[in-house]
Amino acid sequence: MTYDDEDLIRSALLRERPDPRSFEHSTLAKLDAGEAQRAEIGEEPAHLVQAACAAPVHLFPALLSARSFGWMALPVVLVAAAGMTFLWSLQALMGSRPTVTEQVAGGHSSEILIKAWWRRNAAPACLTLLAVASLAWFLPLEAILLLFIVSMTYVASIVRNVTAGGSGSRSVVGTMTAEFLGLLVLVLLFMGDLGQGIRSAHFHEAWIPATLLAGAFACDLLGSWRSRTTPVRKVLGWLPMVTLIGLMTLVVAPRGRMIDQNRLVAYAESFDAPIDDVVEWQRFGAIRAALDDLAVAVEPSQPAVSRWEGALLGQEGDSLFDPSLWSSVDGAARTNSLSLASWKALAEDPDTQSLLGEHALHPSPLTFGSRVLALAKSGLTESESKRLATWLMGAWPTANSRRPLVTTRGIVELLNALAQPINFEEHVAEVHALLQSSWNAEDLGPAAVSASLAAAGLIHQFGAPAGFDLADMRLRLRRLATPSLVETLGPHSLKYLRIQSYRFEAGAALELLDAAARKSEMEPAAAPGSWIVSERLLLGAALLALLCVLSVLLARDDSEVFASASNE
Amino acid sequence: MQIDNWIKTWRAPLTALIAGWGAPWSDAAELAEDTLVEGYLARDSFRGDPEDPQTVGPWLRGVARNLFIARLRQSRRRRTEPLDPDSVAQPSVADDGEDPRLDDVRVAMRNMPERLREVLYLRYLEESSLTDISALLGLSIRAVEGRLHRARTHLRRRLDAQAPLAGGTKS
Repeated sequence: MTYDDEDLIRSALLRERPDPRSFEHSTLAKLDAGEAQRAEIGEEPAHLVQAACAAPVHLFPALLSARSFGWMALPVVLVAAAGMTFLWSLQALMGSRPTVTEQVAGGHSSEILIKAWWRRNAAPACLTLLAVASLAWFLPLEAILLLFIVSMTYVASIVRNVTAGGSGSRSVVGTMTAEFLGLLVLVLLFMGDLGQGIRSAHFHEAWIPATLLAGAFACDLLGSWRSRTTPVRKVLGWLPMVTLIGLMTLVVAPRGRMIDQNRLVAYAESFDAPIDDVVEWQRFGAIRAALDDLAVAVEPSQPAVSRWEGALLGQEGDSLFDPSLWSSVDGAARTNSLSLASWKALAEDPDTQSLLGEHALHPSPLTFGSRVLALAKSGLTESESKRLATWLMGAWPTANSRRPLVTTRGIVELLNALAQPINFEEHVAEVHALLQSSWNAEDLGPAAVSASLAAAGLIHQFGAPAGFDLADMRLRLRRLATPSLVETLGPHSLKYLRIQSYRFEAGAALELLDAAARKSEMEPAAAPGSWIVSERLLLGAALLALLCVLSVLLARDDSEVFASASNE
Repeated sequence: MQIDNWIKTWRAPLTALIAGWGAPWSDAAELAEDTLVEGYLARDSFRGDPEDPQTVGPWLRGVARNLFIARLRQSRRRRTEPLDPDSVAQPSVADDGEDPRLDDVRVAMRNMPERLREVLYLRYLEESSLTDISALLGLSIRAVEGRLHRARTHLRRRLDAQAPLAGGTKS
């Protein structure tokens, strides 16, 4: 090659030189238009705009319109979009900003593309996201997992065609699936209760988010395998998410975990409620009785004792004979932590003494529970105890009685206090029949946990009836026994922001069920293959992670997508 | 940072780079304009000295690459304005009085590997400095020189393989 050849090249390219004046004029005109467009978009925070740009706007519409069943991709697509917006916002705020232009189409302002897509699809997208969130609230976790598995199967089945068409590539699909799984991990940690009442799980419940997180890492690594992203940058990209997951694991997850025995003890030892807060006192009494059944040592709650004794001994002016307070008194009496003076005052009360009289006894003995306890403490003769026991057995409920399980449990408690224990062999069938007919899982809600606690107490004493679905009962109780994040973070002094007392009732019921299972091994032997059922959450999580990895592998490599676009 | 400086510095190198990737020359100039606009609008997120070619060059190349790929996809979707590296950058009919060898040179350059073509365009479109070329390509100056040498050698071989150029001097 000589200087002549170089001159030839120069000459060949001479006519291709852009005209400096028209180039400058055109560039400045485009710049003016771009700045005007940017001003029109609004003054949204820069990190949010960038986060919105992170969503692979080409991939989503292509997925949704790929076939007639495009809507099936919506759950995964919307959760992925939410995850990407959230995590990329975080990354942008923390400064580890990814290359936005790699994810979006050039030629148009990426913000314009995002806005245009959302303008067209905002209503169905929001409705679907709302529906998914609602389902997550009402449906069990396995149902949500199934929904995502179906949706992800659809996405995996069409992703190759979609990426071949130039919409996204392996790196885009990798990012989308990684952040979809990442958001699921965060949500699971937020929920706290991962075991979902499945007692016979062979693996620790932490394997479920761990599996999803491993899938997220795998998707991200596979997606960026041949990209130009350096390993350092990749690590930096993961830093916010790993930090967040670590923080949630350390701070939020333990706070939001299910009520256990330690928290029950802490609750019982610090209980303090006005004497006229009947519901709280009833719950307190039931929980204390459950802890006594479990033989757990509990220090008396000094505020509760002083309130109770103040009311009982007339120091606070509350009338013991106010019927509205009887439930509180009963609850307090069950705490087994009153002074002798208090018991004596209650035992010597004329209404209490009337129970020992010759006239007919009150037909509803449970409303006099505290008085029976007081009499039992004061020392009864054998005949008096037997008479009271007969009176109590006369109130034995039927399935049609009001609150039959709570009544039965109360009667059994009082009989034990009178040293006239119920004949186990004689009544076990009755108790089992009552449990079968009266405990209804569908009715289990915050207001009805007391029935479940009573049922758990009866199961602890009488065993579970044949065919009774203990796993279902645990599943529902565990949800009730898991406080929301707001409850765990709110100040204890604010009634509606602290952990609600029904959650402690549910926790106590679970403890009784576990103790019953340990005591009598009442649960039937596991059927062959039942591990699939008991590990369904972990298996579902693994399947979902595998589907995500598969969809990344099915997507075309970035260079292939570029080449196919070039060759068309 | 003045946009005027960017335009003066990067007009020719960006146009040459994008044409080197296979864009038609008219599209290449348009994409170079878009690159400067997109880069300038996103200047807040740029970390580094905006006047330093070594930091601005890779940044602009990334923006240009994305715009180029997006343009390819757009043209593929529309199918009305195909943007095919093999069908673009076609030499126009030789002007009256133009050296007939120039068309052969253009065809030969068009058929060169992209890596070699882009460095030739960058160097000879408007005599861009080796510093600017090295910044845009992310190479050292020595590597640019080496690649330029290989590109010229490759071009000469191609030209020799074609009809001998009248008056051409072989090295």
